[in-house]
Amino acid sequence: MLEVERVGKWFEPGKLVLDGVSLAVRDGEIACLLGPSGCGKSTLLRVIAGLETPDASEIRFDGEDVTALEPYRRRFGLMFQDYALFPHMSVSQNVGFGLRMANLEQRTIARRVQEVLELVNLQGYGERSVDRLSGGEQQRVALARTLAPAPRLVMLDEPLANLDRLLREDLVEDLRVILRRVGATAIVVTHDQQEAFVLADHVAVMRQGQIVQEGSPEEVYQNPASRFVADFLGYRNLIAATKVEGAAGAVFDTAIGPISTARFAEAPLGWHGWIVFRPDAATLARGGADELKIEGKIRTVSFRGPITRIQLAPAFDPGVELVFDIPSVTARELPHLGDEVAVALHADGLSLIPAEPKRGEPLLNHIQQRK
Amino acid sequence: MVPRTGRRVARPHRVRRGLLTLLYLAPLLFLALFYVYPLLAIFQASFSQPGAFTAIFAAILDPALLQLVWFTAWQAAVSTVVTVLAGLPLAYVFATYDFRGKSLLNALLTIPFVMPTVVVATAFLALLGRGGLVNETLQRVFGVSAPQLHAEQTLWIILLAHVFFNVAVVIRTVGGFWSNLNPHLREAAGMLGAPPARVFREITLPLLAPSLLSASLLIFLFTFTSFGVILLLGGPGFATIEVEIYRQAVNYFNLPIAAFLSVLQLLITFGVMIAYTRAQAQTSRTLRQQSAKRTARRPANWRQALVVAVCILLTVGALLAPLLALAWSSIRVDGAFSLRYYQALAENPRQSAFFVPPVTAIRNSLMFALATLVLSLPMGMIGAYMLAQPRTWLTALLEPLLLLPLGTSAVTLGFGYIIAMGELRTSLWLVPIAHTLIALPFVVRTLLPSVRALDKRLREAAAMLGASPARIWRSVDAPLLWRPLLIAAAFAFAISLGEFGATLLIARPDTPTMPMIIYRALGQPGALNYGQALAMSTVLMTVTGVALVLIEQFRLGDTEF
Repeated sequence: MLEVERVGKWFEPGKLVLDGVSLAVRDGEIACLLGPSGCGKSTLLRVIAGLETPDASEIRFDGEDVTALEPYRRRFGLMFQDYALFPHMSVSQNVGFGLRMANLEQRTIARRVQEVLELVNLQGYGERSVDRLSGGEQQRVALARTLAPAPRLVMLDEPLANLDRLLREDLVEDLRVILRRVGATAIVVTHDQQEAFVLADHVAVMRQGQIVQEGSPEEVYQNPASRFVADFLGYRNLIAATKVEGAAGAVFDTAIGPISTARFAEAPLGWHGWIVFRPDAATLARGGADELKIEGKIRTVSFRGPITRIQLAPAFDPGVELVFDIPSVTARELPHLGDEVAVALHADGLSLIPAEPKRGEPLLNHIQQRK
Repeated sequence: MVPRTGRRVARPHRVRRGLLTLLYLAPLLFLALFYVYPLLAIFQASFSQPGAFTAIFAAILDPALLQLVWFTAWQAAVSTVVTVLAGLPLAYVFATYDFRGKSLLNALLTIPFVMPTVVVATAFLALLGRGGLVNETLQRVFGVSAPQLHAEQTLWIILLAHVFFNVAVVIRTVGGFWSNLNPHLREAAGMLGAPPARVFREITLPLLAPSLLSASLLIFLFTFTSFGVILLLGGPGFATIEVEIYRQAVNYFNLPIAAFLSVLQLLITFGVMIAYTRAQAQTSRTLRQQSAKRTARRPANWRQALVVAVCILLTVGALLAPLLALAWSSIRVDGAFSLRYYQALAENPRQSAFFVPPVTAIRNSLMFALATLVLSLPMGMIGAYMLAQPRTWLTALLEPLLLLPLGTSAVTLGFGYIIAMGELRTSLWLVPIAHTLIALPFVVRTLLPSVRALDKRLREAAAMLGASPARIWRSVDAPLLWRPLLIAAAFAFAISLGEFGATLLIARPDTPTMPMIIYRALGQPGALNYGQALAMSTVLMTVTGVALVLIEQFRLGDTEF
């Protein structure tokens, strides 16, 4: 088990790259550090690896303090975004490098290299030179090299970022299968939420050197804890709201009119913050009295295959813009520009984000702000 | 060398093409006349004289020859190894760290490389010689009268001078290459359990190998043909093949043996040249595969800062000490400050070895250097344009030819002129011609990257707008080339000012150059002669230094060395 406590790191005085980050990864767990570029996630990885010296922290592995341990003594594995394959060595020599450093027998090394190459589906590639491999093959050699010495902790820095999109979607599944098969305790750094959701048991979203939300992928996705996380996950519909009634069902006063729902009984009266509508939680309404409905005029329609994205100007305040992804199968015929429609929302598609008064942000409609 | 790009130059009209070929023939003709022909003349002289073969066979059987070749190769190898070892720490510091004054330091480092041999030799005498600064200080501190340091005329001072000359080659080539190595490779090896020493041995060193090899070969080439350093610092007890050629030709007038030695040396240096060209090509190929991203960082803690500071101080101290000792000694007469030695440069006492007041040598040197500029710049420019063209039989022939003078010894060249030039032997033009040949590889290599980088589309655009070829050159090429031209000019100027080996053989006694005056003054007994050598060396050092400052001022990227 890896425990990281209050890592601080600055490259220049006054400019914190890591601001007291704490993180725990259990044995056999795959954790993902997710965040935009420059949020400090790669630096955190390098600090755990021992390649950067933290200015304040404690890093423990299975209870042992490794903070001052040299990187080559940590028995951690790190795969670089550019793979960093040794250009003067063959595939086998690359993969066997860590085993050689552990002073294993020639025969053991050869067997293990074979085994790992099979694991990443590169049997027969051993004698090739690394600069004559495709990007995907190089990525798998780098993964094999990292896994070969069976490190206590596997770290992958943007493992798929250098591949093109189609390949990436295939390989992300493979990557998870491989990591599971070797039972690795792993940390993966990525800026791609999709990748993080597929790979991770545990996601930690980072922003400006801090972890701003942690949890299982489902938790993080369904309940973004802040506007930043909601933004980063691609939520578009954030509506400022105040809870005005809270007995049986909650009623929120919002910029697009009162919204009542059976959920959120736990929020105190007078709570205010944002209500988020997940874009995919909507269908075009067809009658049904007790559904949560938003009426408005369609501003734009774009057909995207499985879904049809519409922009809606709510009747209550046409200055607001809401975006919904309607499953194309549910729309008997596609809505048109200018149509007056009612969108029905699934109650589970709502979540609340508390206001962050300490940041001093005015309780403005987020969408209006963005315009 | 940078591999040629596949750029095609628009095919000129047939008449113009003929003119272009004629223009291209100029450097070829020059090389044929003043390089190939004298070398062939040496061949001929070597084997056509009556009794030549008997003399040569006797020489071959003489163990002294084997000893001579052995010593030449051995001292070059040791010099190379020591230079590489001395240069690596600073190459590492340059590759790894960013610090204030880095570019200034980079400029400082080139000074020794272009300093004339005679200046360096005199500077080493002024620092480490019998009456040098170190001995003077030791004597004063310990109150003894005999010199305590006996470095003069030993192998040690020769090695030190060789290291001094060439350490910049290591720092520049290896350091530049090193800074482009992807740091993730080292880190990846560390993560896989390799301790730092092993990372260096298994990752860094093998990856640096091509650049180490090409730097080593270049240094070996320079030290193998070492002349001035051996002659002035080693004394009569030491001889490289180059020195022996000079002694055989000038002291004993034994032309067949001198010619035979020249041929022998040519064969060896050509071999090394070929290896160097290959290594160079390998280096640039490897370099292109690496990221161009420079990863130098400021030192992160006081320990790193200390390493950087110590490396810099040691290297700069070692490089500046002889030069400062030279300047200092030139203004010290009998323990007091005086300009007596400088005043003596204007005097021409009877029985002096100079024939003319030494100060006229300054004028001679400047005239020769200007003439060298006039010859080498157009020649080098044409050569660079030629090499920038797509490969044809002509460029394929010219490329090695233009690089070859780098590997040919200056003494051999001068010797060849004496044998081959007949009436022209006493012409004043012979000196700038020899200097041009020696400077030409540097001029061409300095211009070549810029000429290659000229955007063909600019010329086409100018042509579409109705500009004539001459006008295109004036308005498109020239403004882009003036900077590299200035650098090339400064190089040629500095090389001409400092050239020693060839000049010694071909310059007329009544028109000596500065290096010749220094050499003659050092060969004479007496404090005043020595003082004149110091003063003249300081003048030459200053002039060369100014040329260097110009080079560094205008340097955009590195030249191709």
